[in-house]
Parts: sequence; C-alpha cells; structure tokens
Amino acid sequence: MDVVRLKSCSFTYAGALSPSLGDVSFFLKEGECLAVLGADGSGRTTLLSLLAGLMVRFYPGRLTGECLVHGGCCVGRRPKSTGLSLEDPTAQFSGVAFTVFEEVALAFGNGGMGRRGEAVHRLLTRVRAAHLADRNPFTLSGGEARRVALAVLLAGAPDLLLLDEPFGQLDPASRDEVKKLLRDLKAQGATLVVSGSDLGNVAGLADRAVVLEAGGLVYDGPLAALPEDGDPEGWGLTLPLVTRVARVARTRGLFAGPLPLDIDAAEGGWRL
Amino acid sequence: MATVIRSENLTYGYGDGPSLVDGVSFDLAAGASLAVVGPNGSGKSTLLRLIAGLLSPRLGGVSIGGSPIHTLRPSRRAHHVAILFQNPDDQIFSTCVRDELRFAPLQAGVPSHVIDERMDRAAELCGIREDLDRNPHDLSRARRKRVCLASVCMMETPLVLLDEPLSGQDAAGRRVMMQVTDALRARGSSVVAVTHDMNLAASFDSMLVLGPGGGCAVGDPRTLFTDPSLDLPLPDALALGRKLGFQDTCLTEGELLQALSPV
Repeated sequence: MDVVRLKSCSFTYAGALSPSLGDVSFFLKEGECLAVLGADGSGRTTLLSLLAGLMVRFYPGRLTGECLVHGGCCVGRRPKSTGLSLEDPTAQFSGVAFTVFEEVALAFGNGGMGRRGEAVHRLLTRVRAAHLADRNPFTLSGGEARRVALAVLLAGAPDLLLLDEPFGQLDPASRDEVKKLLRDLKAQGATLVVSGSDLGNVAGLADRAVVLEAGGLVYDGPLAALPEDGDPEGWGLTLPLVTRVARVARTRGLFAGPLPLDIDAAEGGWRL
Repeated sequence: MATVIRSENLTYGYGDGPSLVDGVSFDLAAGASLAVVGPNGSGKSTLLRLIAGLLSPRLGGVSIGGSPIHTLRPSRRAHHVAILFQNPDDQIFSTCVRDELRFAPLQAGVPSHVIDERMDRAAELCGIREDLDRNPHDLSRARRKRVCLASVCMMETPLVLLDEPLSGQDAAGRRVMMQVTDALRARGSSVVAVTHDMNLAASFDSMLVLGPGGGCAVGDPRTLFTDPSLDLPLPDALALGRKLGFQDTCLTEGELLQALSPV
C-alpha cells in the first residue's frame, strides 16, 4: 500500500503572493526511503509540514489537490503513527522537562514508570545519548539536542518518519551513526522521508529522490541516477566531492561508469 | 604579521562542573583564519562565547589588541568582536531585516550615512538585498542565518566569530558564506569559525581541535589531519586522495584535480 499519495497538491501560505508548493504529485511505498531535495526556499519544509498534517490549521493558507497519508486525508489533522522532526531540534522540546530523561519519558506517555524508565534508557542508548540523561535539555549542544530530539520522535514508534534536515549540526561521526540508525529503522520496515540539499547526506540511505525547485517537482527517480539524469547543481543542490571529481576525471579518461555519490560506489571506476 | 588576538590558557566550566574548555592557547594575526573542530559537546560553542567575552574564564583569558576582552564593557567590546550564533533565532529580534541590520551599529554610535553604506555592502555580499524590507521570521532558517551574517558584517570588527556557518546552508548559501569569509579576511578581519565541515576547516590557515576531555591541539590543517594520534574525520579530498594512492598530498578539491591531471 502507498503510505503517501499526493495528487496535484498546491499550497499558498496565508498572506503570501505565490504558492510554496505548486502541483506536486508523487506516491511513496511502505518501507521506502525518500529524499526530498531542494535549495533553500524550494518548499521542502512546507511539503513535510503538509504530510505531518499541519496544513491548514497550524499553518493557515490555501490548499488544493489530494493529500493522503496511510490512506486518510491529512489536511487539518495529524496522520496516525507519523513523526515529524524539525530542522531546529530544540524547537521540539516540551519546555516542561528538567532533564533529557524526563523529556523522552514524556514522549512515551502513560505507562508503568519502571517499564517506561527502561524504555527511555534503551532509546537514549540507541541514539548514543545515554550520557546526557541527567542534563537540562536546553543546555545541550546543537548536535546533542539533535540526538535527543530523535529519541523523542522514536518514543512514539512512528512507522512514517518525516525528518527535516536530520544531519544539521552533527559531527561527522554522529552523522554516520544517525544514518546507520535510520538505515536500521528502514530495515525494520519504517518508511522515511528525509529532506536536505546535500546529496552526500542522503547517499547510502535514500533509494529514491524527489527534487523541488520553487515549489514545483522537477525530478522523481532513483537517487543514484540524479547526477546523470538531473541537473543537481542547476537546482541548487550540493554534490559530494567524489561526484565532482569523478565527473572531471571522466572527461580526462581517468574514470569510467556512472557518477558515484560516495567513495564506495566509485570503487572499480577509477582508471589511474 | 602582528598578532591581534591572543588566547592564553583559556579555561572554563559551567557552574561547579569540570572544565569544558581547558587551557586553550593560540595566537591569531590580522586577516588570518582559525577553524575550531571537535565532536558534539566538546565545548566549541563555549570557546567561541569565551572569545567573544560573553563568558568570563575561570583561568587565563583572551586579549584583542592588548586588552582582555571579558573586562571590556559590551559597548566597547562591540567594536572589537562580532559573533554569528549557531541558531539564528538566538540573534534576531527585529520585525524587519533592515532594522535588524541597523540595530547594533546604531547602538555603537555609527553615523547614519555610514550605516547605510555598510548595509548596502553587507546585503550585497550576503545575497539578502531583496529581503531587506521583509520580516526575518518569514524567511527560511538558512536565510535567517544569512541575515545574522549580514548583521555581523555591519560591525566591521577586527575579529569575527562564526558558529557553524555552513550548517543548513544549500549550495548557494555555502558560496555566500565562503565569499563573506574571504571578504572579511581581505579587509583585515581575523575569522574564527566552529565547524563540522572538514572541507571548510581544510581551507583555513590554522585549526584548533577540541577533544572530549577538554584537551586541545593547534596547528596547520595539513599537519593535524595527517596526525594519526588525533584520528580526525578527514576532508573529502584527503579521504578520496588516500583511496586513489596519492598519500596525504591532497587537502582540497583543487589539489586533487591537479593530481588527477594526465601527465
């Protein structure tokens, strides 16, 4: 079954002169990982907010088209088992928890405190934030807050995860860990939507990509084919260094094969 | 070149806690750049706030042009150092970009016509000319960060501190950030940037590595990245260069492309 079905969706924020999303259509299958790519201001966050059910009650505006999540219309109500993580992780904290532990426990809702305590610890360990359990959520560094926000999201056990730039502010090692965590979730059957503008961040995670430019859909296809079949730089996306170097090397006869998105994918293509 | 900024044995911890920044010393010349790298929670942003004089060190201190920065009144400090926070929403409070840019220099007593000239340059450099009459809260987060960067440029301080300038920026935003760094340095300002982007760090004159235990190493990027005892994440060019058998000669994309030239 399709987890997401968007048909000719357009959205204009109240007071805005032009639409932030224009005639966007795509389907998303269960267990898929979709990268929503686009330059700053292309409509990525608007699209994720729409899928999270925030239009038009939280963000007033004019919405046309059909937008189904888990088979139900997601306009004006939050779709079931769907989690949205925001670009600014601290914006997601409740503001009523004194510690990281309490913050995550709140997200679990009611239940036996003993069992819940174990679950919180398990989750914090999973996002490598167990050492932060006693800290005040608002004194965390940017990258630490990102990991705790992810734990809060996972506490709800969503099967559709909408992640707005989940790798911002993470150090390289944490980025790889979060990527691995998301791959594990995908292997367990979760459906993921990950936004960003850097192809290197979603390489090795997303199978498919849609690209937005000024609110319109300009690409829908395999992520791996994007450097060859699309115009990533023209759309304001960042290509990984290995892709740029392979492209130059190919014109010099030093690389053969399709343009790679990570160093491993380039294996065997070099002619040095 | 003469040393403009000197940090000596800079040490700080929150409350009664252990030292998060422990004995950090470095010198920085006019127009020079320093990248601060380290894992999440290693004290990078805290170090930046110390250098900005927003926190008072437990031990040691930072001096700029000979004066200890944390002893200066805020109005004096604003002439020496400007900081871009990691989160733009910690910085913005006006409801119009133009007012946001005007605020700090106005408080510092910069004449109105000079403010206008500076705004012209800063808006052009940061690519926010069309946003000047908009409400910054209607802009995307990446765009708001550019507004903050323009505010920083408005003060024309000899020292500029940038906390994760590239985080959340798309390709165009990255270009803007690089242009601004170059322009600041060409003007003679020293730049200290906290970053997780090793490609950016590799392009800086020097690098300061903060470890999880508060320890630190200072040196030029080539030496530090190739020091196995530091075990740093590598810039993409260095990682790919190693894979292709160029050893440690390529730190930047340009160097790598040069090495790939058929002889």
